[in-house]
Amino acid sequence: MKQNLKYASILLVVLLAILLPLVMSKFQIYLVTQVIIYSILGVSYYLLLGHTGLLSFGHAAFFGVGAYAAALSLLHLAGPDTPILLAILVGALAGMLCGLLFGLIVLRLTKIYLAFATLALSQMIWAVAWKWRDLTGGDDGLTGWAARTVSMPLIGQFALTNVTFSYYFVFFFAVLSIALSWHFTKTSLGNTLAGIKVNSHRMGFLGVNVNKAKLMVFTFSGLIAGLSGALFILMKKMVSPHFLDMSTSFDVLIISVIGGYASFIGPIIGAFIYVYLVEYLSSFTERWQLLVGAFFVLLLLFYPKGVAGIIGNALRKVSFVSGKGKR
Amino acid sequence: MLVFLVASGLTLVLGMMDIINFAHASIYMIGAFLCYQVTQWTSNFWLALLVAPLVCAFLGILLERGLLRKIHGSGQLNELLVTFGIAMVITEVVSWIYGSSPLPVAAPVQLAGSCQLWSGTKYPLYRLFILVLSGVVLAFMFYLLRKTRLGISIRACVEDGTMANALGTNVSFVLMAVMGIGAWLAGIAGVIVAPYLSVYSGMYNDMIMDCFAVIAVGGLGSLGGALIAALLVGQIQSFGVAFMPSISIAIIYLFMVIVFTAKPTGLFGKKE
Repeated sequence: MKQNLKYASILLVVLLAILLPLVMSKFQIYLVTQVIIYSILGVSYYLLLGHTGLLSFGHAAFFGVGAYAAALSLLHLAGPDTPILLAILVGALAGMLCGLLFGLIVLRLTKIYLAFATLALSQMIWAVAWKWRDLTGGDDGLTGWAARTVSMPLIGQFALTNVTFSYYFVFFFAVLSIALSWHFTKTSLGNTLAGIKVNSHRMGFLGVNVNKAKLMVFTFSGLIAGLSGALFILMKKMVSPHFLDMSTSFDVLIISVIGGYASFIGPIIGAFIYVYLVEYLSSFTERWQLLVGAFFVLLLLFYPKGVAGIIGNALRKVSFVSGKGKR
Repeated sequence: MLVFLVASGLTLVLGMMDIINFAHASIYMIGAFLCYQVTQWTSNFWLALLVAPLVCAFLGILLERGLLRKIHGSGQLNELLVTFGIAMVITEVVSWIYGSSPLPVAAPVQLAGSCQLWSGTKYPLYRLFILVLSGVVLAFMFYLLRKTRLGISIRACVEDGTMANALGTNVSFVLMAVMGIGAWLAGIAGVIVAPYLSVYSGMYNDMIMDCFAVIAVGGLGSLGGALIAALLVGQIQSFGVAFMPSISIAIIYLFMVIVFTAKPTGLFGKKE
């Protein structure tokens, strides 16, 4: 019964997401596209923090490396003919490599040490992107693929500037990657990682290769984050060192916390709230960061499980009242 | 030395409460802006040096009592995130009130000139003042931690809070005291940096990374480690700027990563 309800609601959300662009304005579609990309990024962060309990302050690195790799392959791989899908693949793989590399370096670290080390690593990559002007364009960033088109087999050619198309395009990848991540958490490796979150020593005693499992989750998280970075540059039509910046890492963290970092769906809800909050607050006032910060603190103080936690509580109450669920 | 002043407070709190206090550098920034405000009103730098750190200490205590205590026990990550949110709010409030352009603060007249060193080179008096004052504060901190009753309690709490509590130490009071002292130190750093670097709302970002580097390299919760790490980090940065300007911004992160891979708990950190 409960399972059915869950699948029904997922189906409903997907249906809604497919139908909504038909009635929304272009700007709204653009915003929702951004929400979806942040959702992918948030889910990739959930795999590390929520699922395995690894606190990273350097998640921007995976995202940014994916973004730069996709941008560079769009510009240099085969000139203007580079297939967009190939660029996305390159971005995702670059993110994956970056995840693997980070994982190798920080494997032995835990808790705050891990956070500092990932922060230092991502800042290093940021500094490289900032300074290596010939390759990355320095602080000007890279542009030049706004006029490209995507040729989809069987469907035809679409311009990247077509907002509705890029919505569906991004949505397709979101469903793919989020479903993949969900499956990942349910595999035996996923179970192992959840065990590591609770007690990594005990997992070690049980004969699990803890380091290998952690390395796997870093790599996979990097892959998904790299994918989201690649999609992001297709939407934004540019890439800049800001993508790799500390503040991007913290954006991801904020998204996860607002939604609820301990649940899979949390970052998705968080992405929704964050994008809309920033968009509307910044149209009202210049001081939107103040309000976002205050919202963030209040939420943590009163609802540390985030919005997903609030919704979860409400659902539990409803099912309790109707007498169906005994938890 | 300045980074050490800020980082020492941070590392003490970290050692005790096991949280990274993101708002610590905000308090440093508040110290600097208070200095600007007080010198604007009274044009007396010394008064600022006295008052601003005290206000900062009060703010630190308020933060601990009002917020961190409430959320204590709901997990390390939540506490850390709260301080992060607070830091965001403070940075925004400050740039709201004072704008984002740098504000100059005049050094006190007594310290305006420069002096002859033994070797004959001229050295700005104000920098000398920073060095001396930091040295004095450092000596005071070591005295406080090594020789006083409060210091013993602090060290006991850093070592093992539960045990100290069981043996009759008022851990909650010590915690408050540490937050206060840490914020006071950050306030002093903020005030004395004001005439030297001028006051701007980006100070927070500039300081927080340096602090992270220092406490991470020095080993979390280790004051001596923080001192040595602060000197090391300062030296490495200056050498980087002098010899490899193109990669100087990356070099400190590289250093952090190298230290971490060689010794995961920092140079002087305890084993977990």
